[in-house]
Amino acid sequence: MLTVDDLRVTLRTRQGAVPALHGVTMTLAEGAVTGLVGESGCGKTLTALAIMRLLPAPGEISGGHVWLDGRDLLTLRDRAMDRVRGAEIAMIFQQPRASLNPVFPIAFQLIHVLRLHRGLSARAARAEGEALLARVGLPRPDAVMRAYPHHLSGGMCQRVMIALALACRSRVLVADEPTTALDVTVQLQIVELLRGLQRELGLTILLITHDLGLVAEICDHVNVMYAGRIVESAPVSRLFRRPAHPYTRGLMASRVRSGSRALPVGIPGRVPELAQMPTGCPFHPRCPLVGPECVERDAVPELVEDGHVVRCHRWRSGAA
Amino acid sequence: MLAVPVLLGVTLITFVLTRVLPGSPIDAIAGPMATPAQRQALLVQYGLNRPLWVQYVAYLGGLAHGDLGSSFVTSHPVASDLAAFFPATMELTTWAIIVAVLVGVPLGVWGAVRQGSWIDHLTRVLSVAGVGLPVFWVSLVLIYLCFYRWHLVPPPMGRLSPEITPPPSVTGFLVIDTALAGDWRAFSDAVRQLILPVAVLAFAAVAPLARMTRTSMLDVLGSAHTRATRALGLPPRSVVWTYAFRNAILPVLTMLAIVYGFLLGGSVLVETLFAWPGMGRYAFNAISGNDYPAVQGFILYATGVYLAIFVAVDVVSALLDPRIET
Amino acid sequence: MSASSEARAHPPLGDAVYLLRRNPITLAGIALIALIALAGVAAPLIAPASPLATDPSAAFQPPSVRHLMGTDEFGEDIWSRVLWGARVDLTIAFGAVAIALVLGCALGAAAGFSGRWTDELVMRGMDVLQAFPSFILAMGIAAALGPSLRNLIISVALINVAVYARLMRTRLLVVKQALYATAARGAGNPPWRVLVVHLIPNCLTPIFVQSSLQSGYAILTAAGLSFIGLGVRVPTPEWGVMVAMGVARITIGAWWVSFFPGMCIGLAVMAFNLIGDGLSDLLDPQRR
Repeated sequence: MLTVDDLRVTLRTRQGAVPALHGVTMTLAEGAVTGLVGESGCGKTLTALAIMRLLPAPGEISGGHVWLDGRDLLTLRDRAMDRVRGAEIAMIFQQPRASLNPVFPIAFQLIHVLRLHRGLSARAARAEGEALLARVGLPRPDAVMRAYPHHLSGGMCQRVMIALALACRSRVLVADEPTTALDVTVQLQIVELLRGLQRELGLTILLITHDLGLVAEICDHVNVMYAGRIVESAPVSRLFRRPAHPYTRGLMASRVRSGSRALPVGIPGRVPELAQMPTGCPFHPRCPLVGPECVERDAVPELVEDGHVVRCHRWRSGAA
Repeated sequence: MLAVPVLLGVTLITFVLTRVLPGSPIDAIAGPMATPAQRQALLVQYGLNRPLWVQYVAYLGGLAHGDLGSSFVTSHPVASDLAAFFPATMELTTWAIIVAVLVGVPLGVWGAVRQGSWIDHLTRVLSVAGVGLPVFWVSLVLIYLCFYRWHLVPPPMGRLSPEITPPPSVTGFLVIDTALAGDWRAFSDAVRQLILPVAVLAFAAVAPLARMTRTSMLDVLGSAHTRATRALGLPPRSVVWTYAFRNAILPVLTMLAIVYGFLLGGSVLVETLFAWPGMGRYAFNAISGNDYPAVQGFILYATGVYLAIFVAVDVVSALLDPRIET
Repeated sequence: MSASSEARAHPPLGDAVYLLRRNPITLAGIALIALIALAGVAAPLIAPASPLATDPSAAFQPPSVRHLMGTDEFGEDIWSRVLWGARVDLTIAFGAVAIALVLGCALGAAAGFSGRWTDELVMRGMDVLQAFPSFILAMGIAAALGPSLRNLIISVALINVAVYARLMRTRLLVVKQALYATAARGAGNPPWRVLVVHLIPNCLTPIFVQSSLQSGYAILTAAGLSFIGLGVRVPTPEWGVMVAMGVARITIGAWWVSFFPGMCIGLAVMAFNLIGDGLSDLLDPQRR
């Protein structure tokens, strides 16, 4: 449905143009939840913003394609891209309260979106807005309509954001860490809400997160990202049972598992700075399987089995 | 800012400053021929022989009743003198602010939306010039070019040319009062007299307003909620003018109050050059004549107006920003 | 990895050069001020005439080869007076800003570091100062003190004290909480040393930005005060007073008497503003 093909993004910094995304390739299957998982700073949010063409100033798309229904979004003119956003791809963000305009009541933006994307009259839009708020699980939708963002809790704001996204009637939803800034109990509720809506509406969701537990909960397919590259891509059960890339293995081992007495094992070393990328494969300084070819050149994606791709020179030697 | 201690402090500083004025008003009032006995009598008459703190308390008492004392030069109550001159300054500064907002705010928005465009560069040049070029110099340049060389405006001799009779006073704004009276000849004369001094003050005011608008807009345009608004597919014009603008004007309002303070100071210079019968010129004459009560009255009056503007801005900000709970 | 730590060792200089290269206008500002300062310093050497040398027979000459900027009503050469005026105006700017800075920072530091009562007292005092429109307060002070160069500097300095006091106090309060202050005290340093050695240098960066902007406003205020007769008086070559000398002559067409000194005021103030803007870009990396 939506295919990202060799997407490259550079950042203009004091040290010159620094590559931030090195050829990201992934596919969102229609009607499925695809996860994009990785640590902070690996480029997940940049990927999402690049797809939406909302990259902030120091970032620039320097190559690649984003195919949606046969069109390359990166070649569209600004006006055309404005029509794609919302109507065809919607996005919800990490900080829900900061993503709502603070000087307008919820009703204002919700009605505006409904009138724009669904051509409703003012009165119909207001009614539909309240219905949407109820659907995302908000009690007393009429009060929420009149409220301002600073009156609402983080969880409520995220529900409002989801309602706004639903109002657009898009088929694709990009969710950038939708639960990270919320309390744990609220996280579960939002996850349930998203899962329910996805099943009901057949949404195609790109779920960006650093939380492997969340991935296990609702994703169908997962992409693991490191240093601006997709290093492994697999169906979720396969990723958790037989991870191929040493980084993925490291992530799995660093989780706290309930019912297990094994202590979590961290990955030694740190995520490299953008401007100081190691040569060759960026993971090699931290990799237990490192070999001479890893220092010389970056790995290319290889097929492990159907639907499972890994980007590593020596994944076979680690296969258990 | 309006706390009682601050207001008291303002009156105290004003009182101290004017009492420290060199020269004695008695010289001006009595004239060079007065005998020592006559001078002493005048001292007593004006209460200037009492200890300073007694004078201050008496002054405060008078203030509480709205009495700013009587001018040594004109013998009128200062309060009524100032009230008579206030409308002229008010009209000047109000028109200047209106023009500055109408020009500066859109320029700032445009500059933020289209960074690096020729409008953005023009705005930045204008801003730097408006802040840097002294108000009195710009006045002189404009008077020279527009009056002396090109004869575009009437001679700078005040609010109306000498041969025009002023209309009955309703608002104190000549432009409005002449229109209300249907006196179109006076109307056009009043407007033509206003053009240059308003242009000068507006030019100085446009600069900080445009810059603040631009900075504020840039800030808002880069914010998380703007990104979310764009992600919902709302058209760019709505994003800028409906959503971003409403957030961006809040700091601009505060800047308006500060700019007004500049204009109050600048009006002293501009009114002197354009022979404008306002508070600024009154102040200048008062200082030259060592007219204590008049100088005190002016400083307090101008400061009072300034503080009132801040209060007004606070009120409007609270109305416009739902995050401020009134 | 080692290359990066070297870069870290000299960040301010490297960043400064980088940003200056990308901001040619700021560079122009610095160059302009340097030029004006140089002109002022070199005035005795390069001015063709003494600034006070009158020649009534040559009054109101338009600009010519002999008198680059014309002459005024006393026949004084305006170009020479403009050069000497650079000394006066820059002295006022730097002097007033220096006094305001020292006084303001001392007050701000006292408020930020001492107990609540001192803090309240000082801050209320600053509130009172800032309640006045600044030019009007300067008028009041200048009128009270009497017209002279020294009093002009004092008037301009006093209206700028509050800005520095607040700035200093805010930074100090923020930095006071910082861990290293606690650590330094843990090592047995008395509070005085902690203040001077650790905290004050950190507060100085925004103060530099302010100083550049305040220098420009100082010149404007001083020129304005002199223009209405509350500052330096004729025949001192100060740009504001020189503009005043040309006012009555505008209507007979002698535009140069007011034009050139006023232009210099504008150039100097604009240059200071450009420097101030450039400095604040340097210090706030998000504003590019």
